[in-house]
Amino acid sequence: MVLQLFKRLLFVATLLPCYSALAQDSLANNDTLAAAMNAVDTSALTNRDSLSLKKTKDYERQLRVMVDMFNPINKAFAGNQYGYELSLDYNISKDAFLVLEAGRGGGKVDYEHLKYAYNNTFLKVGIERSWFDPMYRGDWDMLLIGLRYGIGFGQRGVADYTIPNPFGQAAQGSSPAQNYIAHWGEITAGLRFELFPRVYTGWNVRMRFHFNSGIFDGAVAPLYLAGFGPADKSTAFGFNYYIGYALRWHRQR
Amino acid sequence: MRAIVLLLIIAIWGFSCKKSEPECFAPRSVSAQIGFMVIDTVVGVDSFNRPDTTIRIADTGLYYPTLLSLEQDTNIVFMGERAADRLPCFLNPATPSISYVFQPNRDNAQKDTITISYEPYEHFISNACGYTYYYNIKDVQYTRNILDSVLINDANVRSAAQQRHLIFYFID
Repeated sequence: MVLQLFKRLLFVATLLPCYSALAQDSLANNDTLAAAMNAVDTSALTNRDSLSLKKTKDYERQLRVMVDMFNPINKAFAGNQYGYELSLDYNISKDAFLVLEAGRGGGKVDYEHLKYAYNNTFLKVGIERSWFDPMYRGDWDMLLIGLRYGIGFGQRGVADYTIPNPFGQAAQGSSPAQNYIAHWGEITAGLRFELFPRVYTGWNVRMRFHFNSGIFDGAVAPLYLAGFGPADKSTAFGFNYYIGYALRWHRQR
Repeated sequence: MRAIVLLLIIAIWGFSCKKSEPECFAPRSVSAQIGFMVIDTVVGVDSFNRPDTTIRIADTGLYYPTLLSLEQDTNIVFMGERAADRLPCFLNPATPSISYVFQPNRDNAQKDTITISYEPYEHFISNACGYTYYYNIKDVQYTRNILDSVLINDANVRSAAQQRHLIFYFID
């Protein structure tokens, strides 16, 4: 990148003396032919420059699909929970990616004092930038830092609960079901390694900020909001471990 | 390099998978806090021989005070320490009021009966803690064997924090 920029600057600098010499030619001041030549030279310079820009913008395109392996296993260990996530990214420039993520999760809370079921679906859009310079042609390993906006649509079923009474039997009650829409933002960082040609592995850590955590005030907040984390918290951390496959093609201009 | 990264991934994974049962770090039964204050009135004369009355109101420590609940399925005794300046007491969410026998001094058999009227309401704490009852204190009735008066300092009983909801005044 730096080398290309340097080359381009060198190219422009090489042409500049010719251009200024023509412009400063005393004969050319009143000579229409010289003026025409001047115009021709300028357009030539512009054309060469645009050709050079096209060369630098020509890069290999990649559409990558990654499946999160962490959450399904992690939720299985937790018991009574499930969570699946999928990530799709496409390089909109040499080192910037447009990211689309989707998933679904849910589970059952079966505590002695509280019982309910919950589930939600989420969608995230965002961008990522790679901070690794390729070490060789075709080096697709990358260190990514990015941002996301997430939206989750969920439902918490009827919650049955008991409330302890120090003077006698515990009281029982139930809270009606609740549908909700949650919004959040994320800062992400992660690594991607191409294990085999087009086969990727990698991970992401995420810091999440709930934009409307107040939706559960006074009500039973779902234990877990897929794509975010604990639903009643205003901030949460997340982790994904991905395995995926990339489709690549060279875009012709 | 890649081996280190993979090891790191496995370590984070293993750490994250180590789940434990949810623990509740908030009180599941909130209590009303009762503070003790003494009213000390000193009547004298000043240097010009004029009557001079000084009233001093201050926190006071009681000698092993006790509160015993009355007429409940399970009766509970709250026992203070040697110089306790406050005692907690539970309210019963199943009834609109509760009575306690209050003995300020372990070595003095004199007692008072206090009846606290309130409105309980349910409050969700968290998934780990579930629901609890909060209360709004409406009224306090009491006998005056030793007690001088009772003040509702904060009617909202919401947590077992250091806020004193009721203050018992004694005449020194």
